[in-house]
Amino acid sequence: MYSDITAAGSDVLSIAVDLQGPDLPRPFHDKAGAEFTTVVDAGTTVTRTFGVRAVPNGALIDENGILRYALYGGFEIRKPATKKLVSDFLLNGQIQLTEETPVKGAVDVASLDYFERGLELYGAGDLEGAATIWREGMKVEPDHWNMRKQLWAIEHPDRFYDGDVDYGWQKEQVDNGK
Amino acid sequence: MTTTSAAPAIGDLVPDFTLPSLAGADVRLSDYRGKRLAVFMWASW
Repeated sequence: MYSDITAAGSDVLSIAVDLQGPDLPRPFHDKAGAEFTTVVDAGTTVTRTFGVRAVPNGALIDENGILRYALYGGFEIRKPATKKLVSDFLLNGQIQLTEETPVKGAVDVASLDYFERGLELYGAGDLEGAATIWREGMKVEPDHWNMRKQLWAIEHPDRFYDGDVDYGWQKEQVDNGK
Repeated sequence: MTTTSAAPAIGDLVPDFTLPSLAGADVRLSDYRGKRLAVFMWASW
């Protein structure tokens, strides 16, 4: 499949958004046996460049660097309609939108500034300061999942760094409206 | 507080950026110029 893509003059770039660096995403990339490149964004490059506030996202960019398609939030390559859209673009350069593959582009994100200020504090080792800023930011933008998860990771490190990531716990937090 | 982001809409040029690969090499978006590219953004957590 990947060889078909490169033979058509196309490529795939995977961006792992992980503030903690490459150690968390690496096993996912290796386990998938991925032949394409995975880069790691431990800052706000993805957030700033694409104007997104959550993952997973997909973007299709043409030969001239022009954005041709975006589905920000809920992008799932295993969905047949999504896989077909991406394949058609990479193999034939065509984009055929369907009800299942709408364009869902960038939004204006007032919370970006909170997120970035929090990251600066986090990077300087001021976890409490970062958490305070991010709590403010969550009031502005409750759907900013990258910020929410970083906040959780500070408040409940045992759910993230002590063995497996506790996805059940995350779902409980959402169900409880936190 | 103001929003400073000017994210590309469909039909806009995507601003270039550089990020490190898992192998430790710097990768620029513009390295892919001349190719059609699918970008997947995800997280392990």
